[in-house]
Amino acid sequence: MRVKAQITMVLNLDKCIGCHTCSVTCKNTWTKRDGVEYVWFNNVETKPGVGYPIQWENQEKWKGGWQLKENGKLQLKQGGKLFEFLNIFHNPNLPTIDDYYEPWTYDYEHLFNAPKQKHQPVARAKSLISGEKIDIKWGPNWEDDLAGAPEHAVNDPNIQKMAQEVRMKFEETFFFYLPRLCEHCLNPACVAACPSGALYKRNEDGIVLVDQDNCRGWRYCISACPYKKVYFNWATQKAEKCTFCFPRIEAGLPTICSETCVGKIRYIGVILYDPDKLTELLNEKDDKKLYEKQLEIFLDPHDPKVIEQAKKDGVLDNYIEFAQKSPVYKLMVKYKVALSLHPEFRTFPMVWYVPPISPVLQLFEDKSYDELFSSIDEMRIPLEYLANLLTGGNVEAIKGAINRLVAVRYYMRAKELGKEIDTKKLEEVGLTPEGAEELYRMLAIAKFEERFVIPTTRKEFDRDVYKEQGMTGFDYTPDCDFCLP
Amino acid sequence: MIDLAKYGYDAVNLFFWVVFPYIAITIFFIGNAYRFLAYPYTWTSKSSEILEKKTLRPASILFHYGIILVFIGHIIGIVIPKSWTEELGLTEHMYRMIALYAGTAAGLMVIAGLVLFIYRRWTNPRLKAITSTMDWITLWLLLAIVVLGNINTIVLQHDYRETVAPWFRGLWVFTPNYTLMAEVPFLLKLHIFLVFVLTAIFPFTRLVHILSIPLSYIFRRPIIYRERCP
Repeated sequence: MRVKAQITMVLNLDKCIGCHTCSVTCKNTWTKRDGVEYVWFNNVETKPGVGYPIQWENQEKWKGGWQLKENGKLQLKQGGKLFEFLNIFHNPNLPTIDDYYEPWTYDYEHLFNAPKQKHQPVARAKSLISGEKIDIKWGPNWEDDLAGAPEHAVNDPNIQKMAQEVRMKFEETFFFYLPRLCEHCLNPACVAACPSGALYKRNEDGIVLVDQDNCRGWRYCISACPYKKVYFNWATQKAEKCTFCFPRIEAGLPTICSETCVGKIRYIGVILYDPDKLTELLNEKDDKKLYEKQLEIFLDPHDPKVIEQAKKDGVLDNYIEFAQKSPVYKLMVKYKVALSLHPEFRTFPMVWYVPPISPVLQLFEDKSYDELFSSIDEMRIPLEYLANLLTGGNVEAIKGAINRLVAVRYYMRAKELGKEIDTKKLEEVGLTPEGAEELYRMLAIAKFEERFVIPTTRKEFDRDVYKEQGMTGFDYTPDCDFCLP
Repeated sequence: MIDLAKYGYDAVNLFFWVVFPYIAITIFFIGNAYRFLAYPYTWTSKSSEILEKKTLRPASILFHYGIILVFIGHIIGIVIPKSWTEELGLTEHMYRMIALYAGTAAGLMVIAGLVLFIYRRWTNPRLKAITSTMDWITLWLLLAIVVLGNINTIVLQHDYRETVAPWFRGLWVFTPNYTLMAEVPFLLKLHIFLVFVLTAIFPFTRLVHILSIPLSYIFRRPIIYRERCP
């Protein structure tokens, strides 16, 4: 056993209102520059829908993530090292900017400079790349709130995989929001695919970054990422991706998308895992078992053996301490209400999601427990759809998570209204009254300091501050390795 | 050292085949080292595939595989002495046939690729907007060099293994016999001169990606862990 720490995020989809505040604050912080106008490190998709870039989940098309070869070995789906060397001059699986959208602005100046004319002047759209006038045919959030769903949403790969038919009529349809960012995977395909070794996973917190000085623009990270969350900056010709706001994380602050989340849906914390188990777990042949297999890799932060090994492996003390009060550990491992996005891509994603339950009140009003669980199958969002999205097709796992969420609501409702409380039903879904109350507090009250339990980075070790004391402005030290005047 | 008394003094040839090549090579090494160390952020292959990939497919594949073949051909014809290849059983006739047919084929691949490169950058408004002056210079210069190279292979058929090759090898051991270049046809001279122009501007172009062939990837473990940079 080895122990590594990972900064992890959980998003409660049940509370996401689709306001895009996370995307906008992220963009204002990171991608308001030439070359990345089309890039959204964080974006919110309406599901069902084809997403951004179009059909990113369709790996038959994009060849992202990993696949198990016949000899039982894990290989990048796009191909091995030989494939990369032979195709380095033209990557067949690279999306073009049209798969995202061509960024544009409007010709506002025309409104002021237009000559006197019969009709009111119009500010036409012009491309931010070429500067030419363009007709906008697709853009960010083109399918917001199911816009154009009868035409587009049927191309959602999660729907195409479903046995049951999904109706797109207004009265019968369903939707929910899916905020997406880099998954900071435990087995990142982008890192494995980079020919120049520019992408790396940070040892102390697992954040995946692109070393901009080492990136040579070979583009394999972009096609290898099954979530299409590594982007190509067309101005600098280098790869860029979500940084998990590492300067904020290092200071113990949540990412900007989490900080500004209006619905308070995001949780960030530390989770401990055993990297030695990765290969074995990801070699599981059955996609449907992958979600449950993933849970085996996480380590109990209260186990003395784990703590001892963590210290040996250089996990900082405050990381161990914060792992013990981690909200994400509770949601993912203790209560199993958070699930991973497309575990079948086999990158072991580390941004997990609490599934949405819908519609709520009408379904549960005045129903007995027995009726309650049977009615979950009739929920408007098909369980099979959620399973294709969050558990690699494992409907039972989705059902388990939703049962627990519903049981908590039912329990709290009975308690608040002074009704009779049947704890046996809580036990049936693996919860205790204390557990139900803790889950309720985490999901419903969701205080800032309970959602974000982030250790600060021990920067005091970066420099020898003792030696530097009293030297401000006179940086010369006789015994430093590399002194320049 | 060059024995001027032996070779005779010829300022023009001395400049073009001794002074200028050394200036170009010096700029190449110092320029690349400086850019790599001082401006690593600019060191990239400048791929435009994200903006246009349909025409890029034939263009890039033809150009790159063609130029790799051309490079190998130049190693055999220029860098390796004639006596060595003959020792290995490659007769003059065989060499000439390979150089003519394989060389022409590779050269045409490169020309086709370059023409497509220029065409797509010229016609696609997105690409036109992001193509720098240095990109244009590089493309046109490469085209000129390869067209001249093909003319030399197909039409002139000068026996450069007796003239250019020994002079070129002499450059690298600091004994360039520039008088060997005197009888070389003008178009071949122009080809060689432009190659040294390209060598001189190399550090300031996108061509630097040639120096970054990611060979270390072959032996690398898949997932890289790194410490946080303080």
